[in-house]
Amino acid sequence: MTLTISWFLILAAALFSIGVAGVLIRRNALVMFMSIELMLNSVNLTFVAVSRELGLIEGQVAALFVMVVAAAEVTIGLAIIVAVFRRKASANVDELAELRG
Amino acid sequence: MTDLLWILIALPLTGAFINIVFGKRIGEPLAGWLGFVLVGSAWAIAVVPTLGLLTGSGTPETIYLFSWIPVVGADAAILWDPLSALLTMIVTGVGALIHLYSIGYMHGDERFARFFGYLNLFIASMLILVLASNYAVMFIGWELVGLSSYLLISFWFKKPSAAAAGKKAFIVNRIGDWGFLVALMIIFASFGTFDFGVIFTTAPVVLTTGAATAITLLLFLGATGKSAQIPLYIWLPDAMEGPTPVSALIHAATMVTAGVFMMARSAVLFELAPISGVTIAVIGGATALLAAVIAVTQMDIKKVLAYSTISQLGYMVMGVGVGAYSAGVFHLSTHAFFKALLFLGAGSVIHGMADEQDMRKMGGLRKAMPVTFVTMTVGWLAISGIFPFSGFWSKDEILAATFQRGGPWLILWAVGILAALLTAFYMTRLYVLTFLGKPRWAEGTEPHESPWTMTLPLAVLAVAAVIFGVFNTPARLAFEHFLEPSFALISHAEPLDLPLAAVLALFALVVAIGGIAWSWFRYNRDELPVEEGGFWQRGLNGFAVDDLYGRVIVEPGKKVCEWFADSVDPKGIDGVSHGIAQGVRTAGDGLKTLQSGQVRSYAGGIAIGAVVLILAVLALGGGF
Amino acid sequence: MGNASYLAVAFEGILLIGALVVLLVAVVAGRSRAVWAPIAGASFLLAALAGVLQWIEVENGGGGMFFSAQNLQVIKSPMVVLDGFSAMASIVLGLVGFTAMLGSWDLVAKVGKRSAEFVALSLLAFAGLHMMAATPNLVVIFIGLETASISFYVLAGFIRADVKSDESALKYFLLGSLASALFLYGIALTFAATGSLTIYGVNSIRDFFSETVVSDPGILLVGMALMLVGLMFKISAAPFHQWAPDVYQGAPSGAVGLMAAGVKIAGFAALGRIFVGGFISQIDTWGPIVAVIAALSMVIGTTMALVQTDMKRLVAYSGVAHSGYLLLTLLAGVEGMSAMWFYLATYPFMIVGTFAIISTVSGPTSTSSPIEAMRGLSRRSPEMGWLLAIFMFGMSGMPFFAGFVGKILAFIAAGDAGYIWLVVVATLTTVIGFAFYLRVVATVFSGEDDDTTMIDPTLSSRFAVVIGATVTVVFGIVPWILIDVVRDALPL
Repeated sequence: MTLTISWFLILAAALFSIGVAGVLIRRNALVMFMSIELMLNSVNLTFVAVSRELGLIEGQVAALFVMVVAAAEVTIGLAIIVAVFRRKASANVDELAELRG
Repeated sequence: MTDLLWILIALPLTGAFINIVFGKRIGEPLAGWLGFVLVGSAWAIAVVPTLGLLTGSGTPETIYLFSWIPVVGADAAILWDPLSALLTMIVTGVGALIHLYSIGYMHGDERFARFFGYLNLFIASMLILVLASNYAVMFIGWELVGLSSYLLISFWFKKPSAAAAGKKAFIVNRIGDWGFLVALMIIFASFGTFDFGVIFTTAPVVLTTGAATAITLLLFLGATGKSAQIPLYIWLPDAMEGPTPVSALIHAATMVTAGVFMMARSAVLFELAPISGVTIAVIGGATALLAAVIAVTQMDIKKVLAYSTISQLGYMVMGVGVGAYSAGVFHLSTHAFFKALLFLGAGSVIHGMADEQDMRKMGGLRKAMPVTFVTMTVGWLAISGIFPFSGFWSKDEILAATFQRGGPWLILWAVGILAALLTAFYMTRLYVLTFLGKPRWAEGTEPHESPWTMTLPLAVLAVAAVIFGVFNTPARLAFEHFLEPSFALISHAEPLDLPLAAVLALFALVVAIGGIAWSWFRYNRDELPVEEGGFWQRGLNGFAVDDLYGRVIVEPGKKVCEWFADSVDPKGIDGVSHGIAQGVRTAGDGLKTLQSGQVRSYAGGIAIGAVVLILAVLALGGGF
Repeated sequence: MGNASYLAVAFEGILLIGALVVLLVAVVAGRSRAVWAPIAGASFLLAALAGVLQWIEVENGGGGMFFSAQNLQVIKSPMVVLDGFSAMASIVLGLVGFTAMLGSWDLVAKVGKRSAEFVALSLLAFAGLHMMAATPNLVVIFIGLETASISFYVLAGFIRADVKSDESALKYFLLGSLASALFLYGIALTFAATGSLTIYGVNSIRDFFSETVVSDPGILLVGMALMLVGLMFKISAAPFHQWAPDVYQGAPSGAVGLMAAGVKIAGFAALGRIFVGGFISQIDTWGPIVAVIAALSMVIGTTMALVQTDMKRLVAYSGVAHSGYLLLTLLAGVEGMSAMWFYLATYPFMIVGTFAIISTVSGPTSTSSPIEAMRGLSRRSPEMGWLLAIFMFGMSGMPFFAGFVGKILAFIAAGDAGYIWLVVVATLTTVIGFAFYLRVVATVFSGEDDDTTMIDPTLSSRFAVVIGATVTVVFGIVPWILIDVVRDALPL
């Protein structure tokens, strides 16, 4: 059995969906954030797979850029989550609903 | 010469600015004189180009000032044609006289200068409205006129009734404005421009009868607000809470005619929609009759004139409805003079009687106020339709045009005749109760004639009320010829044969004299007839139309909203608009529960939205 | 380096240098705010000036694509595009950024030693925002978006006065990252379907559409839809708007104007660049969807704004409605771009001015700003009261204010595209919208005579408000000046 690009794309789509589901289902801000990282990485997989299939360099470069952006997001995201955790001693997002209406 | 017509608008606008901003420093009476001089000079400047149009040496033209929103054909430009010239002359002419009158009338008011600022603002707004060369600018004038009217009605805002009247006028007019606005949208959707020139020349090609009917009925809804027609007339009687010069200028001579003017300006569109014409004529006739009946029963001198104004506006609207645009505009012009005269006369009476407005407490004022008496006599005869005063000619022309349509239109003609009878009756009632008979003054009242600043405008308007009618007799249609360029794009009915016209006119005259005689013998005696029965009581309340509106529209709306909303601000705008806003608010309160503050529910919203969007894109793009 | 053009990247360059200088000065010269005020101001103004130079260059035919791969003859994978669209974005973002910075200066003054970070982050964020308008490359658009978003996540939680700021920042961060991920996946799928990441140049998305008959467009369509979702989130269009009111309310009042105005400009610039620039041939697919989103935004934004009691939430919901009006311009394709830029060149100034006033009245670090706090503002600070009324009139679409012209132009664009029903909806929501804007004005001008706690606005917020009001009034009375200019603000 040869691995065609479809397999990679389907795997990426599955990972992406798992990520979305994680954001929707999990209550812990940290886990939600990990799910988002999973989504970004599934995108990277798509980029790289397509890039290899079409023989283009752009996709692989894009994947590198996405990694950098994801790293930046981690720094800020963790800082925010830690700040919340310090105040509430919990990272449960359901307890944070003062702003509404 | 016509290049400088923008000065017409600039002059009163300058006055408004100076009087509102620096009014306190200028003080009385200089602020008043400033306002008068500016409006008077605007009139003087307008005379020359108007004469040009009259003699035929000038032609109608559009004077481009600057581009405002060129994409939509909304440039700031002045359309100078006989129709706008006529209205300009009336607005500035009557306006200047009323400024002069107000100097005496508003003497001693603590916000004297502010009053003239608002009056000047009103004149400027009205000129923007009548001189507009496209619907967008006209709408702006329309709204500004509404704003200044609101400011002036509630000028004595410390009096709760005045504040409430201003608010009522404002809200009722918003309903009309909504119609106007939607009409403008359809116009723009159809023509892609607001420019009168383009719209009127291409209308017969572009518009279907259905579209024209929709547009004109919506425009008419706008007109029923400003021109106080059924069902939106209820604001005008209340608007009498404003100072009397305001009633004369805005609620008799100028602003209330804006609706008629707007329909005359859009005559081409109305020509394309026969159904609208019938509707408008019927509503006009019904308004003329209903308001006349109510006027018969009123005891407040200003209320009589207010309902009389609604009734006369009904005539004008009827004229527009039957397609006699120039007749409608002619009645608009004569009415502007004699009704301003009557209001100012009434104001002079009120002023002399120390703010007494109840006619039962007047009587015998003819000796105490000779000038007012003589000029009011002219106004009374003019509005009653007595030969050869102006009201006779203009009213007759509308009735003749209605008669000429024949068939079921004769019913409308009969309604008009009946309203004319009642007009003669209630005006005679007002005249007799006020000036003739024995004094029935309250203790300690000493009536006196008003100062010259008030009587001079009365005299000038009286002269106009006498002679203006002869411009347009069935024998000599000078007025119609003058207006012809403005209505060049619509077909004209042949004028009536002179003998038939004369017979009709004679009939109307007999009816008017009959009404006067009936009223004269009923009221001109020492013992006043007792008027307390059911009819009089109900008439005095305006047949409880206000209550009806309150019960049918406002109250249920409020009930529903009270039921729905738990924590709403009861101080908001009351009435109908309140109801609508409440409905939306209720929806908002419902939506609020979706805005739960839960970040995961927001993420769910995004995810669901994304899925729906993906499916929609796939469906539209053929991805399935 | 291929065909480099420093003018094309001048906006980003200037703001980047400005940010670095601010950070360096903060380290070297200590904590004096007085030093980086001129640096920040000069950076924004110079950036706007660069925009003017770009504009002149474009008018003289000097526009084009730059920073492309090796070969000069064949423009392959250009990274920066200089056209009327990007030059206009420079000018607008520069001036809005300058005004917003003035409006935020009260906050900068409050945060003490962290003020350098605030200034630097703002400058970087605006550099990122402009990147979204000035690149034909989808990945670079994403990078710009993230540069701005990440900076704004920080600004939202900059003052940790109470738990609301934390909540605001966390919500913004989680939802924003989710939307960014969706957007990025959209890019990846588009790449998979078309084999291109760039809108212009050789082997671009546009070439793909003109040369290829797409038989099975599934992946391409999903990619397009996801990009749409991501950008709709950023401009807070319904139903992707729920973050906006919460984030605006929880974020420090002084920072919101900067965030709200900037994101709106860049979000629409990116929408215009991608969908009108690249996917214009697919307008029959995305047009109706954008129309529905626009209608939802106008209706939901207006309805929700009516029931708000907090100024910041009210402006946020009105922003949702305004996104709806702005979306109308996209429906007309290239013809709608000038209307879009007219709107984007005026409306953000009203946002910035309004938030400057909110920040003055409720305090720059406040996380709540009840409408009631505005009661009697016309007496407590006459200039702020009157100018707030101007902004409310402007936003509501009152004639003689810029908002009116913007709305009219947007309505025309939608009408030209054949969406008459949408114009009717837009008009109705505009009329209903008057209710809540006028309620604010009524509050400002009411109140007891004895309520005389005077408010003395600082010089900087005064400047911000006056600039905003000037734009609102001037382009309301003489809009053709701007209309004539934005007519050329078209994508390549």
